[in-house]
Amino acid sequence: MRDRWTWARAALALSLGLSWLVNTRMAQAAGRPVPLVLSALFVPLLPAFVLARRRPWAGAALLALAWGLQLAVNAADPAHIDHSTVMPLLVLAAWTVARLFRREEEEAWDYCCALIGAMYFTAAVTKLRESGLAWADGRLLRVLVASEAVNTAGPLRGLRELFAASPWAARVGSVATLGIELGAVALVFRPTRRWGAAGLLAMHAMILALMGIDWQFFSLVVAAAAL
Amino acid sequence: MRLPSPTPLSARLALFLIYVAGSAFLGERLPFSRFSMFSQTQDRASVLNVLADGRPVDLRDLEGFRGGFLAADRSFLNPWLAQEFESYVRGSAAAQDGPVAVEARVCTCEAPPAGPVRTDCRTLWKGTARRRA
Repeated sequence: MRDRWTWARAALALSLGLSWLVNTRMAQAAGRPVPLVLSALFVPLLPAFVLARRRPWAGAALLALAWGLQLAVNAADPAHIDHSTVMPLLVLAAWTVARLFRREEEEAWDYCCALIGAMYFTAAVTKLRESGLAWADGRLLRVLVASEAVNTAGPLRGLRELFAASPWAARVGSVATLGIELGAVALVFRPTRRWGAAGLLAMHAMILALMGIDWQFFSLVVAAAAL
Repeated sequence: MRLPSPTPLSARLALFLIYVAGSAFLGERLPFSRFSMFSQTQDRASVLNVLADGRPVDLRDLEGFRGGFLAADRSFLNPWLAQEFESYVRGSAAAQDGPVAVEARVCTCEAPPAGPVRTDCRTLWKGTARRRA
């Protein structure tokens, strides 16, 4: 049986591989340049990272390739950042650097969770910087859910229409989103880590149900933090 | 009994704060990012809505398009989405009518400060297609 850090690395590697594949497809569809040869090398190498428990150099080499890819894509199109790739990439980098400095796995994982928390906290800070407390008035959530309901058939359509029709539900959803993202600081502390991760997973479940956005890349990273 | 954490809390907190502060000051410079998805509040959003025989479908469930574009206001539609729709329909065109009536619309939803969300849909493309096997 594998230990929990192997599972955590597997979740991170899966998140990175999935997000890379999806973002590559989207970039191609939009006519943005993608280093295809490097991409083809990158994804099959990910399992090596999961198994590289005692070989941090193998993980480091893979990460160097991954960062090279990401920087090449960003250099070609600086206006576009694939956030879903940045998150697992950065967390895996923290893990690898900590292991290269001969830190215990538990300690390396502490740093990873601190980074995951920082990224969600940053997302909340950005919302407040760009929109202020008006972000929590629920109007954004209402139009996003209503526009998703237009494209929905079946029982979820009723749920989405009901939510979009209720200013109070949207306000509660918006405040909860901000609260959960700011509460991601809980991931820094071991006793509260699972609570913070549970809140973030609940938020992603709400986003999936109401807006149809399956950010499985982020959810996998958060699930890894909860392990 | 729980063993004491081998990682000083101050080190974890420092990493947390360095990332938050770095993102705030440096913006979208890897490895920093502000994660600005949906960060700007708005009271209007537009989506592409594809109907097959009157029911919403995923565009990629259809092929063999035959029809034409109508003059619809696309200014609110995500340019990437509009571009992908046009290239998909043109890349999977058919010479003959298909069995499914297809209508693609640009739907704009607007949330006033009070009252229900208003949805306005305008036809972008109309024609026929067939369902992908």
